[in-house]
Amino acid sequence: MSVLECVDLKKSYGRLQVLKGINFEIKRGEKKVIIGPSGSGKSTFLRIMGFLEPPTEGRIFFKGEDVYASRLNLNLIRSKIGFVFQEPSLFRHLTCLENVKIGLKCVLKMRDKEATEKAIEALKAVKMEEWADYYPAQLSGGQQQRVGIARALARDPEILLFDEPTASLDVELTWEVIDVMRDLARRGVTMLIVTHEIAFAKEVADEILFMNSGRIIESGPPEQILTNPRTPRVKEFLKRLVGGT
Amino acid sequence: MAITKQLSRKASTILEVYDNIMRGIPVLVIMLFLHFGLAAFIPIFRDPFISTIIALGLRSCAFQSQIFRGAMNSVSRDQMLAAVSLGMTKMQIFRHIIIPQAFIVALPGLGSEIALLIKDSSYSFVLGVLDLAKYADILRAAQKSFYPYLLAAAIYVAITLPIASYLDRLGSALKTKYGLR
Amino acid sequence: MLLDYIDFIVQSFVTTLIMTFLGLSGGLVLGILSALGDVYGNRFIRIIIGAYVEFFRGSPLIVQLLLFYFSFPVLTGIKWDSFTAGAVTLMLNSGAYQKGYFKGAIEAVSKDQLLAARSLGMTSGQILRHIVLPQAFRIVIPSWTNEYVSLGLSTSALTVIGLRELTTISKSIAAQTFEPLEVYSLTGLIYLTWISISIKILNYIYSRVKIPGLEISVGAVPS
Repeated sequence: MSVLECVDLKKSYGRLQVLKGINFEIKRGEKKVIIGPSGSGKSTFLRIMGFLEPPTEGRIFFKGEDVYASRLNLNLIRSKIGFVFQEPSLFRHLTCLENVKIGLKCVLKMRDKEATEKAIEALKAVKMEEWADYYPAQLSGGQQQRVGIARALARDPEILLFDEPTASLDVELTWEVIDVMRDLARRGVTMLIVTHEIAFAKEVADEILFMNSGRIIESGPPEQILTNPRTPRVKEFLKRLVGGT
Repeated sequence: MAITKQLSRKASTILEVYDNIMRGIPVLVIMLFLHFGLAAFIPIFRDPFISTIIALGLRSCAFQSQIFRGAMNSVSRDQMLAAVSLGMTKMQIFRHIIIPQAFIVALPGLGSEIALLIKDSSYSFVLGVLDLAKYADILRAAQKSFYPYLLAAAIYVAITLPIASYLDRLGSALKTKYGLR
Repeated sequence: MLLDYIDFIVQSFVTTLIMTFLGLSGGLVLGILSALGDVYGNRFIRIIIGAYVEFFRGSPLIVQLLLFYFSFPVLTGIKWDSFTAGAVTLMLNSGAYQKGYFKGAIEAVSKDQLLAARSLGMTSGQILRHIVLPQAFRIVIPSWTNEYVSLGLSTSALTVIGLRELTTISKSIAAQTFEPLEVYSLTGLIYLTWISISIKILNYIYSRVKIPGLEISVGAVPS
């Protein structure tokens, strides 16, 4: 069963068209990775699929229901999706534990005790339970990002969306976040990931999609895309990425 | 004053006390103290106008030293280190590195300080100086209407607002230009 | 000599304290509301708030006091005393300044966090209550200390409408005793002690509610 699906998705800011018609589907338990040059519309696409921005045109289905056409409560749907951002975006006045708990209490209306249990469970999943009472400013970027993942994970979401979660981290810190994500992938969580970590993509992805200037120009299993791409644009991108880093 | 503060510790303590006194007493009370309290010993304070100016000046000193101190502290350590590594003396660093940057950072603060001075000059009203507020009061008494006050308020706004907002804008424009924070 | 007047001095100082408290708390409500209006409101609301703030920040408190004290009875026909007129004017005045502090603090809450809160499915009201305001309050405390000091000292302006606060009483005692030097020295000392102790207390409170990484102060605001 498909968790998220979009048909002919378009998005413009003023006269600038960022997404030029995207068809996409992700089923329960699948892991899909989006790669592509910066400015290709990956982040915008992800934000629209997370219902943080409305599309200009096209339809988006969440578990088979057309969200915008049937005017579903967006906050209700957002509460079933976990979103991890590029910048660690923890609430700075709350401890790690409170950061994870706030969505459970405010949105899912859990009792305090239940929310605490759930939050600690999520912090354990990202190996941050010992830091539960620390404030975001006291943690490294990688640790903050792991708490961000715990916050997205705690609500048992239908799907987790990752928007370049390691892009703002040092190489060493990148690994601790990647490890957590690999762990989640093994547990069968449905994931849609924008990343430049090709090795990670190769390891976990069921399918890799290549985006360029607002379109998905190539998609397929990792072996095919990474070792034997059809389009020269993808070939060039991969060569630079491997050569560059 | 702000400069002295950075140079000498003893002077800094004295100035700190001065700062605290000026920031902890209403400027009106300072005026009353000068004009009525000290006038018997220092004749010049018999003039309410002079008392006003001196009182405002004394307090403005304290406020401005605060503004400049904050601005000078905003100049980054890296630049000081770089200047030292070039072999510049303390005075040269002050003159060529700190002051030019600090002045830009201080502009918005200076703008509101000027506006504050203009507004607080109205306190001379209480000492009987014939200022804008006093004129309005006389007019009101003569005409039995409150419009003179409204007019006076409007004039004050018309004077203070452009000054403060101009220096504020100039400050942020220069900050952006030179990449200062 | 001065001891004979100690009752008056204490009474008038209490009046000064009450006026400061009224002005600050009224100003707090007005300040937060107008900051929210300015950040989230439409053009019309923003223009109204802008005019309100510029008027009260741009003109002297003395003129505002005289204006309100004399104009209100003329316009409405209701008589009001210097206490009410003074309190209302102080509230409006302080609200205009506090609006600036709160606006800065609200805008200091990063966009990332707002987006993250939305991704959790929180409503705008929840985001305001649980994310924006708790952070804004902590960020605003240093500027708020300034406003407390500044408004507390400004209460001396209430003397122009004859309210019997510390400065007014000092003036009449000085006139009666012919000892202005002693009287005004004492007055200054009272203000100074009060303000110094208040700053210590507020700084203590600040250190208690401080959260790592949230020590940003909003601009360098003198006075």
